[in-house]
Amino acid sequence: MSVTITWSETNGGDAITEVDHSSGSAGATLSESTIYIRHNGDNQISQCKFYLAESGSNPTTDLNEILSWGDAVVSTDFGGFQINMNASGGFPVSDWSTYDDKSGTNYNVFRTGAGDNSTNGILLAQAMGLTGSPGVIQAGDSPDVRFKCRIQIPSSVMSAGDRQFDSKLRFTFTS
Amino acid sequence: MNGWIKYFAFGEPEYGQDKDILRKKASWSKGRLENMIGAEVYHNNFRVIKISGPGQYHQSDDFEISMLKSIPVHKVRRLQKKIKEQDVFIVGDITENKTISLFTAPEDIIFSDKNYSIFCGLPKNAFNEWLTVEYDIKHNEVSMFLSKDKI
Repeated sequence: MSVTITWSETNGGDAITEVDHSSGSAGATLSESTIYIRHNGDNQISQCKFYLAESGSNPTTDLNEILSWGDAVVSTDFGGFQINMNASGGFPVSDWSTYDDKSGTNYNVFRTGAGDNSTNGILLAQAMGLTGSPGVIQAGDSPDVRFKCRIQIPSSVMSAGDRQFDSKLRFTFTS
Repeated sequence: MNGWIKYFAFGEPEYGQDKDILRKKASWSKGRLENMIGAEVYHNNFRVIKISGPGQYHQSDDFEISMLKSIPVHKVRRLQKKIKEQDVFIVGDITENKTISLFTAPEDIIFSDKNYSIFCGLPKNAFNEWLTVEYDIKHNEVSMFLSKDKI
């Protein structure tokens, strides 16, 4: 009894199946990606939360490393997978996580206790274009619900190579 | 049968099979909700949750999807009943008969015996909260708790 989810680069646009966060050196902040979300249910989906999961050839190692970048207790170790959900505000710079300010109403960095599993999922902010409550994506072919994400590589990272992880959305649906 | 069945004080049951819901031929919220006396939820052709008793019911499901995929994975099937003062509880054996009604008790007591039966007493101030029963699909486990709202 499901709905299908569509991720796209434009509101109501064709589905995308890949986002390449590119590559960079230690200390780099990689390019941002804007992603739109919609579903095909007649009713809204609720309790929508993002979280990370293992993926790739070194799943546990890679995921733990990404989360540790967000956990950092010194600034040179800080980075990670970050999300800016202030679409209605034009994704301001102030709504990107920093070492001194890791989370707020419309932004977060995935780390221990914040998006590290489904129980600790990061609730979708209303500023993503949600017309109802936070975490609730309205029905419609072009609901204009979107967010930005990026990866920041800590300046202290020493080992080169790929890092892979899975980003998931969990939600509740009533037919 | 995969999905839900509503039972009413008057009239025939209403069915919501997954395949019909997917085709938008069935809907819990758009169907009949008045005078319900019970509901069941099925998974893999087995009844996994049943709640009996007149009152207000709500059904929902949890899904999980990887970013950029389109087809979600079904994680939880859920059934809720709003607790009324006169509700009476009967022990439910989750391995066979998941018939559950409600009763009020001076203390809230929850335990599980080796046969995986669940006994749950409810505090008197549980009136108007929602008894929530969830079936975890992956682990084939049922859990029960109170919720302030419909989920």
